[in-house]
Amino acid sequence: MAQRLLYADDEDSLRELVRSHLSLEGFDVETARDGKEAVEAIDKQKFDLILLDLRMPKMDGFAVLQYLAKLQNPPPVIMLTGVDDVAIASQCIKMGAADYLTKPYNFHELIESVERVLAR
Amino acid sequence: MAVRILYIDDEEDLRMLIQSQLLLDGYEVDVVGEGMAAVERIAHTPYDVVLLDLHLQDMGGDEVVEELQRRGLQANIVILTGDTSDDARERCVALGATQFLHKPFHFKELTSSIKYALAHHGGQGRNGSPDGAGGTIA
Repeated sequence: MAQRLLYADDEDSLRELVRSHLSLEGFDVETARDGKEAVEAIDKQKFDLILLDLRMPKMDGFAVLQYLAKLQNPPPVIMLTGVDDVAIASQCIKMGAADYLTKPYNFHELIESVERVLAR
Repeated sequence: MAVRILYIDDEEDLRMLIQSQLLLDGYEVDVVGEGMAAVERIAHTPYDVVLLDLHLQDMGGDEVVEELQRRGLQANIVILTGDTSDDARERCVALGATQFLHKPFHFKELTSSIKYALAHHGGQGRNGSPDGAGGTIA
């Protein structure tokens, strides 16, 4: 069965571009437009991995990570961060994120990170 | 010589991902988020293909096409459009645009559009063929 990913990002076209690419790679992908939608999806469904943009409206990626930290056996998280967010990215790792990708990343780096984290 | 692309879109993270991915595929890629900055780029740099989102921070994609025409600048443009009934899209058609890519697109659709634009317009934007042909907007 395909592994289920949740990908949360507030940019519409980017979200669909990444979703379609991950789907082509064989993953079952759910998307969220912001942190609040991501939390709602996490409450309702089971995911093997979560990709979180750090900067999102309503509830940012860090807040979602904090929410996940309170759950029992939360799925692993990859944070997607900007070049200016290195300090926050390392904070995310301390909070339990499995990995982080700094923008600009390409699909090769994204898939590599996803597969590396899922293989753990 | 690598194919030179200008990608114009107001979504910053999308711009970065597309630039990064197209670079990996061997293209030379510049990206901008604003229409007037795009016009200035096209005025000073010969691009083989220009990918132009209809909705930008400072102006519409149709206004970019108009401004290029006003300045007599040629470009091999693919319009990125989210809504087929969009007025801005219709204005682009009226201005001579013939190449469109519907958003959201898959990355393969984007590269197919680039290849189609190159094949059908032969890099006229870069070589500056004065008469143009097909969908080259001048």
